[in-house]
Amino acid sequence: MSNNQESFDMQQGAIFETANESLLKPAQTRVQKKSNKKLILIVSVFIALLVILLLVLVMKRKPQQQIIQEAIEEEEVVKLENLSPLEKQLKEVEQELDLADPSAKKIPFPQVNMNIRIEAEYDD
Amino acid sequence: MKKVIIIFLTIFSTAFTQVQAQETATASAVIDGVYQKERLAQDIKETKRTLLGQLTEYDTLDKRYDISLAQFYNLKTLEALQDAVELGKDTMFLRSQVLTTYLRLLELQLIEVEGAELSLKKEALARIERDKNDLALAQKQIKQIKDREQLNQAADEFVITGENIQQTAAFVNSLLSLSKLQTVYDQSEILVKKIEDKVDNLESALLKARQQSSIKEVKRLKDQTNQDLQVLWLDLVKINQDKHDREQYINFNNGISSEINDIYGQLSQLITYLDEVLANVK
Repeated sequence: MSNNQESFDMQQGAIFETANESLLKPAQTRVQKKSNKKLILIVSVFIALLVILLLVLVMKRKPQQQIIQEAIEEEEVVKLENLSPLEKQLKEVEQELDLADPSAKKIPFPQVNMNIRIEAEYDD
Repeated sequence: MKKVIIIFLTIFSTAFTQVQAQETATASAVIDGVYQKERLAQDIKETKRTLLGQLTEYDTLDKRYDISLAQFYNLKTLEALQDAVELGKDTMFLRSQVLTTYLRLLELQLIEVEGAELSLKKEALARIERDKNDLALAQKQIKQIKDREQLNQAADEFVITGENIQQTAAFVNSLLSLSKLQTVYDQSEILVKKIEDKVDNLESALLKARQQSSIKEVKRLKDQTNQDLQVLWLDLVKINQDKHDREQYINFNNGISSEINDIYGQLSQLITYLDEVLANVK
């Protein structure tokens, strides 16, 4: 009898536990769902900020041509740095000579009409 | 949750601020590094661009004025005359703008050039200023034009201004050509002296004798170049003193091209010689 009683108690307890679990589940799911939502929100914010940062960095990146030009200029500077002071000075004079080249294209005097007037047959 | 977002925002705003700060620092370093000469070169570039734009606009307007003038001579109507006056007025105004920009370009180039004789440079800058003022006055007058008589009156008054501008341009262009060559000569002269000192300090007697002989030839060429340059400078000073003959500047500027070419050739040879000597005494 007592055995039966015990087994009944255990069964009853199990029934109660199951009932409790089934009662608790929706609340837990709600909590889980809430935390999932938070996680998704955090990840979304993180991704959005990452995209913004990447965009800013891409926008600030120098164009390819500029990078190449700078590299060439840097190379030229390095080459000049390897020269002796006298050689450097000579290079500078050569550059000045290029600027003084008389055959270099110059802007001529503007081709404008210097005599804009309207004559009539009956003028004096 | 809020805390996490705040932390993220703080991290990203810090990163963004750092990028911005780096950019600002680079920009200020660039500004600091820009020399006055570079700014002047930039101004010259921009003024050239403005001039070319104005000239394109002028050409279109001038063609329209020519057509309107031809129409007036064909139709002989008051309506056609009014059209011609309007277009003539606009063309005159744009012409004065083109010439002002051209004078500004000459002014900038003159400021930039180093080897110019100071009194001539000062005189040239004063002439440019005078011509620019005359053009500003002419522009005011052009704005008032309402009929053919006023247009022709403005044209009469522009004759002297136009001639002055042509002379100034010729004067400044001669001055620029000579100054650029003078700059090369002055720098070469310093270099000749330094290379000569290097040759004199050579240890090998044989190499020293050989290079000293080369230096003698270099100096002969240098002296000849200087002499040729001085002749042109003296001519320009003389023309500047004799201000009565208005055509002289234009004739001088047109006539010196062969002398300028010769001096340029001599300077080029001088630099080649110096390069050769320097390579031998390195």
